[in-house]
Amino acid sequence: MTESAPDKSEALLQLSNVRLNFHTYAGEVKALDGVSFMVTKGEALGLVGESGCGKSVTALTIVGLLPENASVTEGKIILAGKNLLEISSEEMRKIRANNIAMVFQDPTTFLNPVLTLGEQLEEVFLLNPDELARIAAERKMEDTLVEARSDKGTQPKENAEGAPSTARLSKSAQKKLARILSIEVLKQVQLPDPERILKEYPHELSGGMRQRCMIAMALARNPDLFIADEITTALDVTIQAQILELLRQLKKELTGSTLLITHDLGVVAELCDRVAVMYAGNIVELADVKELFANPLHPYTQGLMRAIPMIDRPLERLETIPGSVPDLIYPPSGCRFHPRCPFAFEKCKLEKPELIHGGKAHTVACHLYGEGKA
Amino acid sequence: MFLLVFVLVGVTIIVFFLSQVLLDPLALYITERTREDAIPALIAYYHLNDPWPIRYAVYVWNLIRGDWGYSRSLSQPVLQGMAGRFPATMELAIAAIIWTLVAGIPAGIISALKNNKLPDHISRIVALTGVSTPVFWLGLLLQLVFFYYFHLLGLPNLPSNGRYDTTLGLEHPVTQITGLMVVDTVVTGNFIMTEDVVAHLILPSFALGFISLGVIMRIMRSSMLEVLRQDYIILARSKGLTERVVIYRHALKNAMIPTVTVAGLAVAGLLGGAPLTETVFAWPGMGRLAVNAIGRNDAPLIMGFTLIAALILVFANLTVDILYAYLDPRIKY
Amino acid sequence: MAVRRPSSWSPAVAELKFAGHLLIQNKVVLAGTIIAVAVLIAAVIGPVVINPAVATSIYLPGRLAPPGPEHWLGTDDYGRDLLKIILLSMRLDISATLTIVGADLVIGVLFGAFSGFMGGKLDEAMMRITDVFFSIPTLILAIAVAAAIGRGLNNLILAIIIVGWPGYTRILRGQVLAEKEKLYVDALRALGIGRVRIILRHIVPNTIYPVLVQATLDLGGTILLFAGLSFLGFGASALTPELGRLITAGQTYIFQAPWLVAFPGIAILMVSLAFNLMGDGIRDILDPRLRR
Repeated sequence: MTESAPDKSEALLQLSNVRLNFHTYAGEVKALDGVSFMVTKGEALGLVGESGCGKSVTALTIVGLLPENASVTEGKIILAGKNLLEISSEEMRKIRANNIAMVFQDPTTFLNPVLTLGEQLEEVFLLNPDELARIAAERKMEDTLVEARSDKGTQPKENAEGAPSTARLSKSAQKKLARILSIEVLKQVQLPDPERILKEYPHELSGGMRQRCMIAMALARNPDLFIADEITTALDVTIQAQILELLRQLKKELTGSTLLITHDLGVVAELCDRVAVMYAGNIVELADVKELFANPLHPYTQGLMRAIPMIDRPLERLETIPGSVPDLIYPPSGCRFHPRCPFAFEKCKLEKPELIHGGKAHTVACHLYGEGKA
Repeated sequence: MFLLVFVLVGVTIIVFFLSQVLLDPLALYITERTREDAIPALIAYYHLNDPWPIRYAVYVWNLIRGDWGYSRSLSQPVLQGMAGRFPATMELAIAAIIWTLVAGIPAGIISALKNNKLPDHISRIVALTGVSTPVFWLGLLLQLVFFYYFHLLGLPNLPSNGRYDTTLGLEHPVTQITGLMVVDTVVTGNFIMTEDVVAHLILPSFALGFISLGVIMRIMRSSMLEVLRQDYIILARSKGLTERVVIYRHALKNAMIPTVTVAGLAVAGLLGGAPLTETVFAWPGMGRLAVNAIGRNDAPLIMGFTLIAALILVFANLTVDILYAYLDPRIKY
Repeated sequence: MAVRRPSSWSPAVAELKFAGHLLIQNKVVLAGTIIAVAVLIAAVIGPVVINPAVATSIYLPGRLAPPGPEHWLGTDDYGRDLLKIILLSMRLDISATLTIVGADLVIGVLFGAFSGFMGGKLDEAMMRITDVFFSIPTLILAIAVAAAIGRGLNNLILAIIIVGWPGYTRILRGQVLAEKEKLYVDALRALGIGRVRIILRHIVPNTIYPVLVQATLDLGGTILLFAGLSFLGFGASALTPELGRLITAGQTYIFQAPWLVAFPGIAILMVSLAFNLMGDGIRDILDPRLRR
């Protein structure tokens, strides 16, 4: 499986040939059919496709939060040298706590209605007391925190050179620090009056504010990989724009990688370095963002491009892709797109195309390219 | 709050209708010492010959004043007779609720967490059996086994009648403070009696609580399962929180909301089961009083019991509403 | 390419498959339902096979006999064979229960449909009335009503009917409130069809599912209520074979002849369990449909 990875960058996350099925009464839904891609450190990879193509499922597979009726039948997901599909659930939990953070689509249903935002945000910080102690030491916050600690009467231990060691903070000190850090991260997502927000419940905030809070919860972990699953879809257009602006800003500030899942090519154009196009459980094309827009190779991608209005093209009829998304219990043979593809030929029905180089830093899964052209 | 008042009014209307319209209105207020010639005066006093609205108003006014009629079977005014037995029923009901909640809620949670595995199947069977068992029969069986058979087998047996051993009670008299004997004996340090009283409570409260146990277990299980499917649980897990925190901090509080509501209904069930349980265990509570009244055709007492039961239930539901508002921040009063 | 897809089968078949799948999946429910049906069949067939005269055939020399080869469940204090008496009683209890729930269903649905559809003051009043009924525990209110209208089996059934309808009214009203906003209702009104007809012919059939589910779930509780009240002395007279009555009679001999109390109670439990399992099964099958 070839990838369009710049040779110098290091891979953070690598998916290889991941296959996933859902067991349902109606049959086996073959949701992921050999998904492979890579996210390098510091880049923003977009994952685009229609609803139901498996983008969210891919994300859930990475973080290990699939429903019970799902099973991965093949493949590897490598993060920091470990195969996420094989590690224990405790190890996975730690990875979720420290390395991967995910933000979901609907801030209304994804926030717990009976806990305050403060509680839901601070608990992220409180997961990692050692980290809290380290931050306290780094910022030389012993003075402010000593008041919190005075009720316990513990003193920071000092090692020989007089620098405070990373000893544990007391519970109340941890809570105070968590609160301070929560306020900071809320400011980072540009929420006004963070102290008040901490005390409020989700239903008391607007949709846009809730979404920013969810983003804050993700940032709080300073993750190596930030997964955003259609985070603007459930919002009004104006709020969408605000969130996108926020993401643009954050992109400049943050060092981690981002996996941005969306069905909106516009978002991809704005925020991503590379793009992967998904259709019916397969990655069909993968390229740098400018290259993809300039030169879409896969017929599906071409169809998508034609379906959105672009400023620099004269406004003709928007074209649709004929047909509809296939039934994944009985998917089409060979290339899953062939029933809707204007260029399909015999081989497309028989053999599933692999991802091959179609240009510079550009891979595509289609029989039109490489050997076996019609 | 308006609703409460209205409901109470409605209850009095029903009881009024039953006791004053369907039955002989005079029967409510006659005692065995009432003389024939005193009857016209009584009729005038209670306005029994006046049009219904007036009769009803007088009836309610008398209720408020504490005149709930006279009970032939007790030879006492109704309200007084019941007030005496009220603590006994309360103690039984409270004991039943406590063990129902203490056993039922954790069982429901475990059942949800180990969904479709053995503990779940066992507790569902228990719950289903609980809901299908006639409480009076259960009480009789409990007496048979734990009192009679244990005694025959030489095992220490649980008492089957009454609230305490009267002989023991003479030696260690219990001072009445609240009327709840467990509380009273503990507070006065009368621990010998505490043991006795608790022993007497075990079987009846188990029988009474057994039905509600099934209901609580089921609702706790289903609401927990429902909550665990919610999106915010996915988010909680994605934050890397331990499973324990996810369940006890995020899920439980949400799952308790429907359970609390159902617990309020369960109180209704307990009150309904009280007459049967008290009869079987010869427990000197209001329920048993009402049942005896049935046999003696003492309608005033039955009606009085109905009124009190409604009052208790209304109060319980009020408590449930308050708890509900506390648990769910989306509700405001 | 012709691929055989499940969506080409008729929707009804797919539904049945789904329902069957649900039922079989939960083996406990399945086992229970089978037992339940067996119990009910026995209860229905029994009295046909057994001569009702058994109820009055008193044979005192043989009274209080323990279970044995001649009388499988023993005899009661009138010398009657307990097994036969129990089977006869089950029929009475079951038919009383069905009558009660059936009547409450009709009353409740009618009240709920009209109340919900007409709305306004009528609806307000009905809600308050049901609230009042809900604030008195069922058994206690039934006792009060029974005390007021007099003794006897029919009066007991009537008393429980009077006490039981509000639940269905509330459920149906809730459904009707949602249903009457649907477009087809406006269409029917525009056609000039009278409101009563709309309610009975259109609204009720579309909203009745949850109420039916609740009714089957209530069967189990109703038989407990009926037996309990009989136990307390309402309803049937001494010799009439009725399960609660049998337990009252057996109470006196509980220590010498415990089978007199144990077996009728087991019968009540089994019938109630049967009803509950059926109700659960029906609810599980209908529930996904309810949510759509």
